[in-house]
Formats: sequence, C-alpha cells, structure tokens
Amino acid sequence: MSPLVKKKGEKFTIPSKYLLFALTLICVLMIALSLFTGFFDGILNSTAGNMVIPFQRGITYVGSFLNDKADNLKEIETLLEENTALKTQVDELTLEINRLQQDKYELAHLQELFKLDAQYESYEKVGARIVGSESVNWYHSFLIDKGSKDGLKQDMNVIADGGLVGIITEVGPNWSRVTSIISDEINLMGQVLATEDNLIVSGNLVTVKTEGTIDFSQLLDADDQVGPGDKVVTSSISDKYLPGLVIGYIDSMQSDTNNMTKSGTLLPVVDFNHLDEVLVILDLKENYGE
Amino acid sequence: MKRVIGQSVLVMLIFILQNTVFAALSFNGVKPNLLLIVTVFFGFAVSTNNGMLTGFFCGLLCDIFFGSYIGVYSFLFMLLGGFGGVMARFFYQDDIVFPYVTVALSDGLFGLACYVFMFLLRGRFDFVTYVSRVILPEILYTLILSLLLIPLLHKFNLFFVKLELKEKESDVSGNT
Repeated sequence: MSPLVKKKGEKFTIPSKYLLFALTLICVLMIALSLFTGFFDGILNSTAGNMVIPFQRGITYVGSFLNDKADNLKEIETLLEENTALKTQVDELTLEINRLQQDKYELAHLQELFKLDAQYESYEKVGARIVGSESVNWYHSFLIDKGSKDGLKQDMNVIADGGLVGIITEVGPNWSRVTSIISDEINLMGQVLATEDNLIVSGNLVTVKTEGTIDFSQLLDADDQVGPGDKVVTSSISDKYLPGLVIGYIDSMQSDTNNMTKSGTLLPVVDFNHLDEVLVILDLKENYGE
Repeated sequence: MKRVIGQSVLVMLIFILQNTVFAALSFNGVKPNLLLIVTVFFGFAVSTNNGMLTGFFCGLLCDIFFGSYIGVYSFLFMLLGGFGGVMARFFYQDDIVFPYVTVALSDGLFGLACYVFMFLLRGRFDFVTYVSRVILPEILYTLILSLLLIPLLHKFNLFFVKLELKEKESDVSGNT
C-alpha cells in the first residue's frame, strides 16, 4: 500500500523522505533562480522586510534608549566639571576661529585657482540606524533601517567615524544590508595615502577576532617608503568604492616570497564593535565625476 | 493551523532576538545560534517533518537578510531539522541529556558545513583556527542558551499538543 494513501480517520502526513526531497528541490530551485535571475529580490525582500524590520527597529531603539539613559546618569557629574573647563576654552577658540576663517577664505581662493574641490565633503550623505546584525557567525554584515524608499541603492558606500564601514549589498524597501570591509568575502582596492601605492585590502574573519586587523596584499613598494602607521584610503581604481575614503592604518607588513610585493595587516579606523549609526553616501562610483 | 501560526511567530521572534539582543550580547564577536536550537527542537520533539519545515523557514529568513543566494541556509537548516528528527529515534524522548547533545552536534555540523562551503573552497585552509575561534565558541554559547531555551520550548510545544488533543476529543465526540 502506498504510504501516501490516507487511512480512514487518520491525520494525513507526508513521509519524511518525500518532504526532504521536495524541500531540497525547492532549495536548489531557489539557489538557481537567485543565482541567475533577480527573481526574489522584490517579493521576498519586501514581505520579509515588512514583517521583521519594524520589530528590529523597535527593539534596537529601546535598547539604545536604555543605554543612553544609563550613560546620561553616569556622565552628568563629569559633564558639570567639564563644562567650566570648556567655557574658558570657548573663549580661546573663538579667537582662533576668527584667525582660521581668514585662512579659509585664502584657501578657498587658492583652491578655486587650482580647480580643486573638496570631494569628501561634497558627497551627499544620509544617516541610518543599525537595526540588526548578521545571524550567523561567519560574516560581518548588518541591517540598516533605510532602503530603496529612501533612495538607497546597491553598491552605495557606507561610512562612520570618518572611515569606510562597508558597502550596501542588498536593498529592500525599508531596509538594506551592509557588508562591512572586515567581512571575509570582501576585497577592495586601497591606496597608501603618502606614496599613492595601490594595494588590495581583504577582510579576514580570524585576525579580526584575534587582533582586530584585516589583511592587505599586493603592495608594490619598490623604494621601501611605506611603513607601519601609514594611512590607507580607497583607491580611485576601485569600481565600487569612492576614492579617498579612509580604510585604516598599516599595522604590520612583510615582503612576500616573490620579493616584489608586500603584504601585512591593517587596522581599520572604524570601531566595528560599537557601531550604532552610519552614514550612507548617496553618490555611486559609476556616476562619479559626472 | 494554530500550531503553524504559533511556530511562525516563534521563529520570527527568535530571528529578531538573535539579530538585535544577542548581537549585542555577543562574546568576542560570537553569537549563539538560537534558530538552530528551535529547528532541532521541533525536529526531535514533534516530528522530522516539522523540524525540516521549521528549519526551512528559519533558513529562509537568514537567506533573505544575510545570504548571498536565497536557498543556501534554508537547505542547511532544513537538513539539521531532519537530523533532529532522526536523532530522536536513537534516544528516549524523556532523556534529559539528549536534546543538548543533539543541539551541540547539529551546531557543530552547521559550523563545519559553513567552513567547508564558504571558506575551505576559497582556499582558507587554517581549519584549527576556525574551529577554535568560531565553531567551538558558538557551540558552547548555543549550548548554554539551549539550557534556558529548551525548557521554554517544551512548554510552548506542550501547549499546542494539549490544544490538538482537545480538538481531537471534540472531533470524536462530535462524530458520535
């Protein structure tokens, strides 16, 4: 008798092996569909986003609210002391500002002469709150509470603390996923600011956990001018990352066995353990310079 | 039907908790895998089918928000839900240690699968470091939390078992 035939009065159940087969088939189909087409992008992203993100936003909001309140109480005393000290400082600084403002006019004038403009400041940015982080331990990505409704698109750069945090890898209507540069699958072109030598920065799960550093490699430094402490920024060669965003500082380096390139570790400027809010740059690299 | 709704809400709740509260409570960047506890629990406490379906939807949530391709985590979690069901055949249901052994084992398998398919295939051969830095801490943390979560899940399950029994009784009495 077939196991699928329903006996009288008995609840209908599918044998496990059939269910296993069916679900496996569905999984394989889904992988294939998402691999070759963007079929799921719209439907699943919006339904799941609408169900989950509002709650995550709420919990994260309550959490950070309580945190803030606790911090506030602790800090009131120190703030009072600081206040008096700062007031005297304000007077000194106002004097200095006046002097600097004169310098600034001069600088603006000179910049105009050289047709330079401060790109870093002119990027259009939007703030977003982190509402959730990766649910498995193998990668470093997190969710923010802005999505396509707020004008966010895939491949937009995300910054915080004055440094590069990562890149948007998935966008839903009211949420987006940011994959951070410490994530193991991320590789990007960087540049040593002082010497303009290019290098490849890649995330590393193990060193991030042990030393808080990520890897760099393929640094051509024939004159031995680069050393620990040098600033590394995103390179203009990169096809997704805007140029000139600070990645971090070189922590250690050694020559590769080919004696031509160097590799080592890099200390990111962003404190990835204490990120609350990030800035998303709305300008895409592909439109850069237009 | 009530069970389906109850379990869906539970899975959603656990997913949200894992991404918000437990992300903040992570030790050295390691989070417990609560979804896995839920998946395996329904695998051994209810049925293999229930475990596989629960796992499938847990994985689907992970896939949508964090996966590169939809379906990878769904597949993994689905298998582990089934694994929970298979393990139940070798143990007595009321064995105290058994649920925790199953959870630890399946978390180990999950970590191993993640390592093999996502890291080993990209040429990261440092297996021992990955075990000691990621897989083992995760198992330990998950195990500790399962001590709290599994009794709660038992209560949750019992509630629906009683509900179903009541419905069956009323069905029988209605028929006669």
